[in-house]
Amino acid sequence: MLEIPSILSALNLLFGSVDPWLVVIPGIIIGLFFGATPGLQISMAMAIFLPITLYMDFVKAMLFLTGIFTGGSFGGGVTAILMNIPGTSSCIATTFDGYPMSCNGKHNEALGYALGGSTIGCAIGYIILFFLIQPISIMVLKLGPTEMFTIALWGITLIAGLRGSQILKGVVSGLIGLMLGTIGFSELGIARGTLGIDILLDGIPVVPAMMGMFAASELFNLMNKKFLVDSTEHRRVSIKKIASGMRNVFRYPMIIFRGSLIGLFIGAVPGVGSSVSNLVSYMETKRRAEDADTFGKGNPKGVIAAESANSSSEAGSMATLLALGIPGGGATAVMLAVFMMHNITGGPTFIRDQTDIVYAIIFANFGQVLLLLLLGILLLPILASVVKVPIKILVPSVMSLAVFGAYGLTGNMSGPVTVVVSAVVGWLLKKYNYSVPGMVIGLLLGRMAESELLHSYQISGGRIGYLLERPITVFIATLLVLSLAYTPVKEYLQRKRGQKKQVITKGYGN
Amino acid sequence: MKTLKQNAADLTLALVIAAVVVWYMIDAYNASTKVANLLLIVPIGLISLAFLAGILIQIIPRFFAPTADKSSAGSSQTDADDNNEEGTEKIFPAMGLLALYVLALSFIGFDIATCLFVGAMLFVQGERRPFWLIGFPIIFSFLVSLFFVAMIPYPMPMAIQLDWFSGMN
Repeated sequence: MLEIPSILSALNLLFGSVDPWLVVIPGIIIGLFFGATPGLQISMAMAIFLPITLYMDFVKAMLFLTGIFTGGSFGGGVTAILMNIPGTSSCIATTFDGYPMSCNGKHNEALGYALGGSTIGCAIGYIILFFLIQPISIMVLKLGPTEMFTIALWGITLIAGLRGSQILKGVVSGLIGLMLGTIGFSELGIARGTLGIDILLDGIPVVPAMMGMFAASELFNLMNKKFLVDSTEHRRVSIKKIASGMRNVFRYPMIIFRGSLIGLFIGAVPGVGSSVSNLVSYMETKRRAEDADTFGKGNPKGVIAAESANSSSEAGSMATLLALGIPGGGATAVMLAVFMMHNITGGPTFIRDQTDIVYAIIFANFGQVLLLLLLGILLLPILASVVKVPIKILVPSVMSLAVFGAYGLTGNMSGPVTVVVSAVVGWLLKKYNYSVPGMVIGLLLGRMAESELLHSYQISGGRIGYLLERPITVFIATLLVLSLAYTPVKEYLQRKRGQKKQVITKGYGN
Repeated sequence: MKTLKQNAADLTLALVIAAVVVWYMIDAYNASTKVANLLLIVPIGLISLAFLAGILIQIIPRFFAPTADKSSAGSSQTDADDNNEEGTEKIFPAMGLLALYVLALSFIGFDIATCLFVGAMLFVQGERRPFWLIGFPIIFSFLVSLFFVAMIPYPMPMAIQLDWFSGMN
């Protein structure tokens, strides 16, 4: 299934010159810093630095962004271990055992376990992706416009479903995003929703909108957050102990392998990604462990389980992005923007026609793993003190960078204005529990969804029965309905059970 | 616990979103009544409106529910709700400053506007040390302006001409 000429061409793309690697190193460093700074998310770092990729070719742009992704997923673990603050949502489970290890004076070992778990997990994820990407693309090639439309809708619904009890708001966010994504000229050349503003004829500038919603709106919320760092300020970093922690990772191959598989498969599901995979991997490892009672008290297995899963989910989400052209979350949404900026459409034809580029992205990630190892160790002392950078300085600085970057992308004031408007909209949506990622992904997929639907309409001649002749469409539509119904049904059952319990306890009380 | 004000804001936001959906459907209809034009917008709009109606059904009873009874609010609270009341005294001025900053860009240039914005934001957040209020914004805006002038192929409005750096391109 492997295409040897494409592999050779990919190797040539990567190693023909040092150029591609010159963007990877800053990418990883940016990722490490953004990941380690509580409140700054990986997707935020990617959105802020997106304008720079305008000056790179597609491969370099992707390498730069995957570098941020790789660095960020480890960077988040540093603060999780040292101060019990998950730097990003993908490191929540890292705090469970990482921080207790720190409290026991084993913070260096914990960092070593995290770095080892992260790098090996990331590598395993990409190795599997390397072998699976061709078969996946052959399967995906069988999908027509109806299937692609239902997949896009399903992806948005899954992301929305994460809102838990606020599922209605989540779905509405995604659907509104989808509608707003169609603003401007349609495929038929009809302009809609432009309010007479010329700039909107091309649609809402998606990348500045993303910068506003992911970055600027989050920064507003950050202004009120205070992180307690005083008590942990004096933790010294010892590279020797970190290295010994990393060596010990190899004593738990099953945990890493399981974590990587969980990360890969959960990462591939849109909307779920690394923030869920680390928790699932942790719970699964705990469930199977003989020493389950020591979990949460500083068991290194917990750290390895969480970190290997959150790192390998990067490969999973890349699979969905490359094969379907659908982003699974914030970070891959930014990558999809790079696809758009370079006029590349992700999907099966992309994998078939540009196999060398796909392989180059995968191979580059192996290189990134090694660089992460090196940079991670070298920068740990600085990363550990990153939390001391006062939030009040970070907030205006990152906001200005977003404004500059947005101007750089659009070449006129429409970029900065979009950042401000979407920052306020994003803040409002988040405050009232609507889904910001749902809306952004809807916005990104709006045009694609409309054109797939239009093609389905043209092929079927407007016959609804056509849908029933497409078994995959029916299957995905069923999944869509099930994933929408799952949370409300589960909640209803839980409420009912809760009421029963209440009645019983009341009965005892009397 | 949700206060009357929060519920009212929640309700208003849902109504505003519904209004935007209706407006967009009408605008698209006015642009062209062809099925191909309305194929996505109208069905998705109608489904959104149905879901928004569901959201309103969740919000409205909260106005009549006794405020002390949390469970009667109908939905579980998230951490975002817990932060609802606090902190907007800093956020609203920050939003205003960001808007002013962007409006000022084409008049006073990116460099001066950035310097003023960063300084003002630091002030709003309680910074009072002279270096951080004056020195840091000047250094930061100079470095960032320099970087972008060198990076971006089109001219950026600047008060101080940094054009000679664009030769670095």
